[in-house]
Amino acid sequence: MSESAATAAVKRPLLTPFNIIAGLILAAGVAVGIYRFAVGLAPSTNLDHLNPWGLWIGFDVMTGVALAAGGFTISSAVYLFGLKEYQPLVRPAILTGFLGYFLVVLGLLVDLGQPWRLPYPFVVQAGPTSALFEIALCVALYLGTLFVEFTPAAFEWLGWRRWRRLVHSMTIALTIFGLILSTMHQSTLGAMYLITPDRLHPLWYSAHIPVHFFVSAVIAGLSMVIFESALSHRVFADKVEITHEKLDSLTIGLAKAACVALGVYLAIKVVAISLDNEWALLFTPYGHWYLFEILGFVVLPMIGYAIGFRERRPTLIRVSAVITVVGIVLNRLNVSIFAYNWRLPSHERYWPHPYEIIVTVALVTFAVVAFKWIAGRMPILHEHPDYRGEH
Amino acid sequence: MTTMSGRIVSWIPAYLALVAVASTASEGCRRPAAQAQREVGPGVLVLRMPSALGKMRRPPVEFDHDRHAAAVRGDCKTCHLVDRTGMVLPKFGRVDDGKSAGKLMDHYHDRCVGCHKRRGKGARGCGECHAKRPRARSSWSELRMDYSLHARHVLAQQKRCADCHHVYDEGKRQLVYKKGAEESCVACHTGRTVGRRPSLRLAAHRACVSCHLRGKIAGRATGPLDCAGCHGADRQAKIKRLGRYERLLRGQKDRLWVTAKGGKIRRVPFDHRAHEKTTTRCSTCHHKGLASCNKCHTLVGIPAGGGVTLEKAYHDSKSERSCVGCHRKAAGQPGCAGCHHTQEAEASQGSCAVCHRGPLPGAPLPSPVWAPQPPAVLPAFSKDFPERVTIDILARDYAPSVMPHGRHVRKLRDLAGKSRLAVRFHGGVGALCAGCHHHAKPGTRPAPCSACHTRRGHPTRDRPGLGAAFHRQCIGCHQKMGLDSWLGCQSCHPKAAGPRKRGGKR
Amino acid sequence: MSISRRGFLGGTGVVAGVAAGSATARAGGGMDRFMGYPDAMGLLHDTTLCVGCRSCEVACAKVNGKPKPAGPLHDKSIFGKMRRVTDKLYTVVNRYVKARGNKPAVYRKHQCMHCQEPCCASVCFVKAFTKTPEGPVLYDPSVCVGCRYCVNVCPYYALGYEYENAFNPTVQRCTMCYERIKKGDQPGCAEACPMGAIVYGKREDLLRLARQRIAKFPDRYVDQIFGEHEYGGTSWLTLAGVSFDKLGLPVNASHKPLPELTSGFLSVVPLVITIYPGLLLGFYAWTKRKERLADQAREAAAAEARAAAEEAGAAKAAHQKKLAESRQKKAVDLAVKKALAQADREREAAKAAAAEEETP
Repeated sequence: MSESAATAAVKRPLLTPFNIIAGLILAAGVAVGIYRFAVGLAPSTNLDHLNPWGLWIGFDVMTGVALAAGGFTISSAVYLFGLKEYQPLVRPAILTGFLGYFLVVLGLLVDLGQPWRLPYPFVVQAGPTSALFEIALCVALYLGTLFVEFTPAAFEWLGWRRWRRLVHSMTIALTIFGLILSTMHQSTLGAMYLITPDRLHPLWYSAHIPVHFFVSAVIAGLSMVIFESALSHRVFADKVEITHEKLDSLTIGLAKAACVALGVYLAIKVVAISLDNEWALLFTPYGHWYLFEILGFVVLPMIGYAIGFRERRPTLIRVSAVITVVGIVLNRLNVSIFAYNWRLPSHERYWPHPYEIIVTVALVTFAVVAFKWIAGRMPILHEHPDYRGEH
Repeated sequence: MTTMSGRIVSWIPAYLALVAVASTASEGCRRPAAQAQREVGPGVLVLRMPSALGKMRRPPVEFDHDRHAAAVRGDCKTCHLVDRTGMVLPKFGRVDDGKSAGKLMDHYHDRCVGCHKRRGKGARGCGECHAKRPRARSSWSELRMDYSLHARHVLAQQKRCADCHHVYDEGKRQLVYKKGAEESCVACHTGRTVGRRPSLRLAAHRACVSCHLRGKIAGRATGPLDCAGCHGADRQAKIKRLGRYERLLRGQKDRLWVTAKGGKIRRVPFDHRAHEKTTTRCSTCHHKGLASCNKCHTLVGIPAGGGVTLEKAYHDSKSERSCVGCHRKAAGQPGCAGCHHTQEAEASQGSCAVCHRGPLPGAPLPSPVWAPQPPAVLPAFSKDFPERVTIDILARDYAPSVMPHGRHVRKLRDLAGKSRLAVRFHGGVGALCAGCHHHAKPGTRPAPCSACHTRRGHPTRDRPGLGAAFHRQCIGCHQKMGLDSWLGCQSCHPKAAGPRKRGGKR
Repeated sequence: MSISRRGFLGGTGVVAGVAAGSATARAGGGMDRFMGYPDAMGLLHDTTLCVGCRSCEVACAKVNGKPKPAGPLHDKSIFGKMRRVTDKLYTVVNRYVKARGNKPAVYRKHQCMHCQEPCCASVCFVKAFTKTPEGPVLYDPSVCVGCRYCVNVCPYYALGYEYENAFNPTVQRCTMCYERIKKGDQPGCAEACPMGAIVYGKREDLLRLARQRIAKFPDRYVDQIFGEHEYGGTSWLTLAGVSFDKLGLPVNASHKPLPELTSGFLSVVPLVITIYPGLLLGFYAWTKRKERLADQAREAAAAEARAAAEEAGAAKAAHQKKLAESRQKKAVDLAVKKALAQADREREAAKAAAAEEETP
């Protein structure tokens, strides 16, 4: 009997604790979303004329894009650099990436003043001098790319063989395209801040911000894959095909890459400080915060990864992955909120409104729920029996 | 299984969280106000090794002279030597510093610590005196001998000039008094001791303090013996000032011609006596000695004058000693600044002739007596010279402004009349008018402001529009004169009752 | 797995389309400087003349249809706090130095500076901002998507956004009264200022005027016209008697226009688009080549092993055969010998039996 029929035959209870909590969060998110569109941004956010970008841009857009970088990292590793053993991780990474970028677009739509005008730069009037234009174009194209890269799994589930074969033949082109687009928009997210050397704190500001953002995106992608694969392996124990040992060995391999990437990141951060001669700033309160971010969330996980792959300790690697992901979140929030407008007095600084937090949490929950639904049904965590070996 | 590395790894996040919390807390906190700089009284001396003898190994010592003087009940001889003439030598128990740093150090240590030991109080350990402290600011205030204080000394010494004034006779190698050559101390005594000539500080203390001490011993009313008495700002303010005193005569002429050898411009008549009344001491202008300016400041500039030419010495608008500089400072006083703040930095060409009105070099010099300038006499008020002026040319949202023209003119006349400088430079009525009616021919009815100030103004020629001209003139003058510059628009012109058309002529 | 030609061409086509579409701004390596449009207008604000009467705020609100600014104008207590430009207050006067003795307080009027190379225009991805030849920087609300990138990057914090408008929020800022100046009038604030602290005219003329003022009154002014060069220059020029950082302006701002920082980076984007495909295909080809060589080596090794195995098997079989043959031969010989021996024995026995029978 076909796979879809098999899954349909198993009855799943609807009111699990996870579903209830997720449902409540999603309901709250939808309610706040409706409120935001009904009354505008003033009552539903803490944004003002000095701090026009808040949690929705800082987290949903900037952090979301970074954490969804697993898609291009793993697919490039497998298809372009020939690391075939990571094949089982490609589909979950692509799905995470796709849902992540979808979440980014949803978050953007909530934040924009007139979101129905989002296509304007492409159909009405383009402003190509803007970094945001390039980001919009690349994210739109990349979302499409990720969607197309995800469709083979859907086609396998639906049984549409011809479509599946067609898309599958485009894998290399899509991967190259995805890597180009990702390089551009991940770095340009940092480049958005090049024009604000005064408003962003000098420790986070550098002429090389785009490079910092791109390298940290690679780090984020790898760490997210480690984290998400560990989580999926536990939650979908019945669906995953690869064994614990196999996943552990893949994790260890990823840890090597992530460790090197973190080392590179640390190096370019040190270079950035010395280029602008900012050593004295490290001894200010903001400097302490910067050191906290670097030492706690770059150096520490780098050591964790190193020990993890040397001594073959997947648990340590997973802990380091979580720390790294938190560090990426912290870095993006620092650049967009905490270290931004640093000269303003404290009563003019920004803190998220509870409604902003609700919407953000709801969007993340939505991504998790969608992942759970798709991975539970489609051949994401395992190979479809009809297409075994055809990757 | 908790291995060693496992345990460390699990503690690091906790520690880092603590650091993060501490950092965030400190980031949010206000910075503590910069510590106010420590201030020490005028009697506190900082004892350092003379640079000629080398560097001290320990921090310099802050020595409170007044406190120690009080401790020895004002007996200067406890620490200071006295010379044959009865003068107290200002250095601590010695005449000079000698040539050995070690000997000087021992000199101090033996006496200071020895005395502290004998008395049973005072610092004993090295670090108590040589304490490392942040740099302090001294409240020591300079005291200059001005006319009043000098007159009091003249009275006290019963006109015995020789008690204080001397010159050094190279031949006899001693100090002698030479009548007619009395100078301020600064004419010879500078900031450093040069050869056998002590520095101003040593010379002044030796002369002043010794005399005060003699007076105290003799039971006379005399000047202070403690540092703060002369050098504390609050005590300085309490020094008795004489209302009237005899003019200091040192052979100066009452009126003279200012000439320069080789100069080509008209000579300047100078009322020295009148100018004496504008300062508190001779050294305001005679900053180095009572000789005339052209002794050190020549036409080309010589080392004796610090390279400053005669022209600069008289005309430097930024100096307080030059003629022009002092006049400009006077014009900046609140009574004058209302009109003068619009004066440009470079003096107008016409003002040279106010001073340079004598004969050309080569022509014979008449006797330097001239008639005083009469103060301005206002004509009677009339249609052309109104008591009140109604400014309604721009009246629209506000009612016309009724300006008390006569009151303004009378006030300016009184202010200007009080100052001889003002009378000399702009004695006539015309100058009073020119403060507001600039470019107007004095003695005639001036053109209306709107003749030159159009409604909109002229950016290229920096000419404000009519409204701006009115406001800048009035408000600017009030501001500089120290009046409440702006109490709201309605203090000069109330709001219009109803809609109005733009008014007619002024 | 192989890449289909169709897939490859399709991918490259899309990439080329993106490259053509994302045209970037000025050339990153250009050394030219935009000296401003000739005949552009500007405003000169002389803070030594400003008395903080806020008539400019009132006039601006009136011209732009905004609510009246707070408080009676003569009430100076409003200056106790620094106020900011908002969506309802296009311009704001702040007191930066309190009055002391004879020295009056120092005020400054703040609003959009109408930069020569505006950050807002550079970062807008729908090109909603234009630097007009007349001088003002204009905003087109009909294309604005509301991303607020412009509000975020303005170095003078001069933009406001209508957060309270739910359905058509737009950016709100000083427009230099563009409609009025097109008619030949002055901007509302310049006309309203009773002290003439705001002068409207050609930017070139205003610069000359400002330099004249500094030369005539060197004690009154700091020797800097703010806006002449800072961040590429602004249309709004400021003179002051105190250092500009006391007035909330970046006194040591670079003369380099800020948009150049972005355009320098964006010039790299086409390089990525053009270099990456070749580079990544190279990686892919390299990987494929490695795989191919690995496969080949594997196959060769397998064939060799097979051949060796075959040879060994054949030799073994032959050996076995020989062994079997010789064993068989031996067995046959043995059997023959036995049979012969038996036959001999039988013959002997028969012979003996025959001999016995012959004798009676």
